[in-house]
Amino acid sequence: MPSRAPFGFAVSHRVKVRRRRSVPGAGEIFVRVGDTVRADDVVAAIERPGDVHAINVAAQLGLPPGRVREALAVGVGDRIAAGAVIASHRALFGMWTTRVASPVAGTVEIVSPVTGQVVVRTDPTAIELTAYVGGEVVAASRGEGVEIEAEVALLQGALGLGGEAMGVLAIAGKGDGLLAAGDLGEGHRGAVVAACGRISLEAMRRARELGVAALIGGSARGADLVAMAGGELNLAATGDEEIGLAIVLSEGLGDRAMSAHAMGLLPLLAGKRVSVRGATQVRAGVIRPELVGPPVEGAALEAEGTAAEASVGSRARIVRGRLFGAVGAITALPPAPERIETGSSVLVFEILLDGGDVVRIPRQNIELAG
Amino acid sequence: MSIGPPSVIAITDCGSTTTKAILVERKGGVFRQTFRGEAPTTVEAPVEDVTVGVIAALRDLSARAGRRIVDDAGAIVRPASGGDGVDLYLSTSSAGGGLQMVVAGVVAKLSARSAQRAALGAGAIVADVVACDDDRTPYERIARLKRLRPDIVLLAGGTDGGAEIGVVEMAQLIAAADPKPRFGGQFTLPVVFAGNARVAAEVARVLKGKAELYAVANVRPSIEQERLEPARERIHDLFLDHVMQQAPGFSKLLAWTDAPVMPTPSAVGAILRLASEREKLDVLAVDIGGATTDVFSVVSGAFNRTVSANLGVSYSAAFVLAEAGVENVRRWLPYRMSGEDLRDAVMNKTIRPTTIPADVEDLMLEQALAREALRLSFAQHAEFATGLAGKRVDRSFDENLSSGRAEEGGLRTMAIDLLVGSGGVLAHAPRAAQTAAMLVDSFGPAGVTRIAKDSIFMLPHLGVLSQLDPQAAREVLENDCIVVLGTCVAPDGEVRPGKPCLEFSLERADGTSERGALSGGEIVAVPLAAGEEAELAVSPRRGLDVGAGASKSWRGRVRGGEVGLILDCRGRPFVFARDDDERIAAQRRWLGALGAFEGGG
Repeated sequence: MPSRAPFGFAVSHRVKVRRRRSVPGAGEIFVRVGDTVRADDVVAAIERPGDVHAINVAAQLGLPPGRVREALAVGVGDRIAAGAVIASHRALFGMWTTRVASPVAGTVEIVSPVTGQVVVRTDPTAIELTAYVGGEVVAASRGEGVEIEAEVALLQGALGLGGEAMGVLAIAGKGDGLLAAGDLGEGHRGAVVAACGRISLEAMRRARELGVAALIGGSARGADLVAMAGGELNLAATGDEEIGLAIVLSEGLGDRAMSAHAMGLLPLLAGKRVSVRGATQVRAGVIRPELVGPPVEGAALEAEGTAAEASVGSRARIVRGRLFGAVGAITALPPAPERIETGSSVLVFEILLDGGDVVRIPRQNIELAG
Repeated sequence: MSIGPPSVIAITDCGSTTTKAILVERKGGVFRQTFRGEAPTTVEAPVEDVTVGVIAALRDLSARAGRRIVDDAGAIVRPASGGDGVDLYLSTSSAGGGLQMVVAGVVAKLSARSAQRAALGAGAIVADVVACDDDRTPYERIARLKRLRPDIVLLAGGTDGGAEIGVVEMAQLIAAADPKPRFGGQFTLPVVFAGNARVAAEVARVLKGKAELYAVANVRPSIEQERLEPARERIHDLFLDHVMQQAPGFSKLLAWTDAPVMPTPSAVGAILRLASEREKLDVLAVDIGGATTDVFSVVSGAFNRTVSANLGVSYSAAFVLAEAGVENVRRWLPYRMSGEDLRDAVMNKTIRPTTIPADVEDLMLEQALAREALRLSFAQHAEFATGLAGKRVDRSFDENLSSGRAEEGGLRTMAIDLLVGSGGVLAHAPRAAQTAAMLVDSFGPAGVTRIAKDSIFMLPHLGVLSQLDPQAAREVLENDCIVVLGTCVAPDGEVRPGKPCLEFSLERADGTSERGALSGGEIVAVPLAAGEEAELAVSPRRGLDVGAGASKSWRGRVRGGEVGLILDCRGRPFVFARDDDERIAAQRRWLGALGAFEGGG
């Protein structure tokens, strides 16, 4: 009897995907359904509301809040420049004038006779959204955003940081060994650099100095990621870290190389323009970090899956414990729970590892190797 | 109300990952939990309908019970007749993250704190507490409010006749931030105003067009008084009417149940209060999940609940590590592990949260992390569950506040009669001794404390049942829900390693007895079986208190359990050896003494 198992992180030579570019209320969409776009085409512009600054005019002028209006030189809705005087008050029989200037340019939004504050909102900023993948626009509206369908090569990771990036893929490092700072040079500026092994902290810092767009690797030490980010990470939802580049790790934390399947894809994309999303969300709509690029010539189309039926013969990778990273084929799905080393009784898979050993692994600790 | 005989009741709890169903039946005149079932919760994509998971859980329950609870059309079969159907269907929910709120007040330790208590008591996860004196600039508060997507905002501030400016300022911040509600793009955010009534009209003017305002009685009408119920009730009503109606499939669920769906933490609080009142016990309960840990206490009749929203053993594992620090997790391990490897293992668990420990060392690491999550959650709870700031509180806490021993914040662990643990890592630990060890290590109970677990996490189910029939809920609680692991006796006071700590004698009902003495740093488990009671006499060394006062002997009846009678002379707080080898050896001794792991690990 088959059993569902997490699909694992996808590694695909050609798969049809849809990627949505969200456009909340205030924004402009530049494409229509049916348009063909490239990954770096701007498909929409979002208007991000300005920041709000509360100026305590009453306190600065030494007036009761209810009298602030008399002192104002501006009203609700007025546009003002940074440094513009918004209120003034003459004291000491007119001998002394105190002025309050706005620290920012923007629009007066609130004048409160209760708090004596004036709230100024800076101008909205326009943020351009690229297509991220090259393909066909299948949805384009203010409510839905822009959705693009494309056939791509796809490498998903376990953990990503730093948001989106694009660049030409270059492979660095020696085999599946450590990526060191010395493996990166001027030629990697603006590139998406992939290595099959662990990425060292020095390599991350060197990449940032050089202006590398993104680093893809098998793993990194958690302490190195924390050092790179300058503080503890919210692993449950990443992507907003301001670390100067995107990072995607195919296996996760520790000292692990990429799976053979993932390593096999990279040379096929070398020299091609790819997009990277260094965002991870482990729940409430799981998001996995990824690298997408043009589909591999001649590869058959696969289905993008999130979970699949594991059955005898399925390739599986162990993702916890002493055998983390080991890969093999499922040889049996015992129907009854079995007692494992911890003393818990759980459902297991029997797996013939590529190295020849036969092991029994809790089903929760397996991802299908794809 | 009491339900007339015979009665069959199905109850579900829609958790964030699993929907659990139980069947409660009247058997021989007493209500018992007879069967249970479960299925994955289906609030999120691709299903996005909570009732699909509910039906799946009820069908699983049906299959195990041999009773048709759901018909072929997916409707619940009612009433119970022969071997089919149920008389009642009830449910609780924390699915989709439960009820998420932001609380705003004027003074962090006064109005904001009272508002936070009201929100927590209503079953909410409080994403942030914003106050005029919270060390943030107005800009930072606005930015924070904009990023959050609460279901409801609770605004408090100003005693009646007191502060006005600060309250309106806070309303202005909310208006400027214009936070969007989590569910429903067209939905206007509800704001409950529970502050100074004199500025209610100005607050309404400021928030007009930005929020749907509901004014209730002030949560802090004066410095000395706190009045939380009106705000709690309004929050609960809004939760049902707005939040639940917007969440995928919940409006259908609300139509199915025979009583309003309760937020899971509210239901747990309800049953614990009932247990405390009936048994005249001061109770501390904890529910540790993958992402959050809830702590509940009922002490001297006062109920408090806290949610540590970033402390849990899977989705929040990395947060626990960041908060506790690598060394604090490592100190619980009875083997060597580098800080780097420990950090990597915990971070990998966070990004693969559904994996489970497959070997003993991995299990020990997970339980070490759980200890820190529990310890930190309890510290947050104890700090929160003090009396009202600004007033001398006439409660048992107050006189203990100055003792400086065996206490966390204002909550002295000597006051706790019953400590209950639930949540997977506690309830499903392979050995009961591991559960007991985690609870004792994390909470450091002092005096005489009964240690128990919730067998299958049915506290929420019993909580919602208690709203209709408290007697039925109590019967199931006592007979099927609470599994007593044993009793822990631990002296409060400075314990000197290797020096005499206490002497004890135990007389069992069957006539057998045990006698002994412990030195500082030792812990033992004396066999005392589940269901057994025994007469215990404990004489502590001078200066130590086991519940009868410093240096005084304690005598009374204690209950057994799978672990038995735990005598813990490790001190409060524990002192860990600085040398790694000594620390590891001590951990192995302690775990071995309780039978938590073979040979202590």
